[in-house]
Amino acid sequence: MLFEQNNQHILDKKHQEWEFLHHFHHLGYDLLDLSILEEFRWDSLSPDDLKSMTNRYTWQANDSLLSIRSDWTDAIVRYRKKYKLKTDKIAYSGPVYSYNKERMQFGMETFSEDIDTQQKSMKDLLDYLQTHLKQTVSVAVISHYSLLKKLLNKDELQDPEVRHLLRERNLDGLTKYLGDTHPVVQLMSQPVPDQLHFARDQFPDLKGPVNEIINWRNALEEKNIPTVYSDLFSLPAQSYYKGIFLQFYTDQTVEPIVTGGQYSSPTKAFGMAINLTDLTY
Amino acid sequence: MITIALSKGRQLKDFIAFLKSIDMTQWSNALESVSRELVVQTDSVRFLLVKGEDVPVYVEEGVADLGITGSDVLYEQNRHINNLMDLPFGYCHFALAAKEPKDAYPVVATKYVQFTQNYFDSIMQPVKIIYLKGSVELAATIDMADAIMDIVQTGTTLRDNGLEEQIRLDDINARLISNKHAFFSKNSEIQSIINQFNKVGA
Repeated sequence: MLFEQNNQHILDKKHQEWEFLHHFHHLGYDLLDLSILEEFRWDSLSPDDLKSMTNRYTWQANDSLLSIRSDWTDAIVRYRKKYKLKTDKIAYSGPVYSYNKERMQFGMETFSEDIDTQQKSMKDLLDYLQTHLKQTVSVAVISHYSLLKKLLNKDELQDPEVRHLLRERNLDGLTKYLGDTHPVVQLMSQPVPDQLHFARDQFPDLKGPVNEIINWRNALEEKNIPTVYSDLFSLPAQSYYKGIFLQFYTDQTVEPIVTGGQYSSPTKAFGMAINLTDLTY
Repeated sequence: MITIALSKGRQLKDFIAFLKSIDMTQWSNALESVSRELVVQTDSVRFLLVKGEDVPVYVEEGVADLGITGSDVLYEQNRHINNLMDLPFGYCHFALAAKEPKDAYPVVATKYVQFTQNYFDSIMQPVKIIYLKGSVELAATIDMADAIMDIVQTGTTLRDNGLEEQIRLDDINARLISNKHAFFSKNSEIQSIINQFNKVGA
């Protein structure tokens, strides 16, 4: 091991973390730190908790299930269910672990349903990513988690085959499975540039979510991201996600460098995190 | 410029024939001139010639915007790609093959572990799966396995090795896949290719 290089790398990483927290504290965010070890009680596991167990490290100790933190927003949602957080916005940093992956997350949460406040937080994070971490976002994807909840019935929404076909935008598979008159098939059959307007015009229930997507798309286009698109067929990872969901990518990356969105648990909130790996951190 | 990852071998020949059938001669001529090159370029498209199982990898990583590979390959890989449309070639099917019919096949050799496990789960029968990379027929011929799960086109290879198709399963054909971002960032070019591919039989 070349200690001279390694020493500097470790110092740079710790400095970046300190700098992130300091920057957001200066912007008025309160700072939060939580244990990396999370404890679940067998008799109070929620459906979301159960679903998350398939991709995180867990082990049993007496009557509890212990796990290493796999996502900061999940940890904060659980914390807010249990304790009151007397603040409008927080920032945090720390590692998260899912199977075979270790990431560092720098993130923030805004406990407000005001869209301008949420978009201001998003811009704070985006500015930090570009100016301090020197990462250029080339693609931004906007989804709205209530769209599919309105287009699919409860059974369809839970059906693994439907979820798989949606994830792959497999139109002929969905047509065979759901029929060509199904609203999802009709919407996906439209040319991509027309889908938002088709959704708004043909399905009155979708007017609200579509207008929200357009509002967020305009906010992102102001940040000069080369490709901003709306993916109308994304499925929520957790049931507490209620509205807009955003993913930002740098060039040629499969995994998003920033993820986040609106959620409701127990009150409306918005959060985003920068996901850093060895390649970017 | 669109980049398309293609499988080498039999599927490439089928694709060239398909291109000719829909009058996409600029592409078919470029691909027919290939000898050992792995990259072929025309004015509007660059083809990457790779192993069929690697097509989804090039597409997922964004090196290729589009890819053409068999639905059997996609079944075994859980990739972040868009699985856009059926293409009218590469027809074959999954089949369970053995020397003779049996009530159960507790040991099965295959390259298709995911498909085999899902099939036996669906019929509620336990199975031991032996993963092999090739020459799968041999496993049943020399009784290392009770049966094999493989893709079958004409059945000649099975018969040549003393095996018979016992259970015909899912149909397979070529699929057009796309990178998740390229689908949006190059949507007009991709849609134009889809429209041209859809001309078949029109």
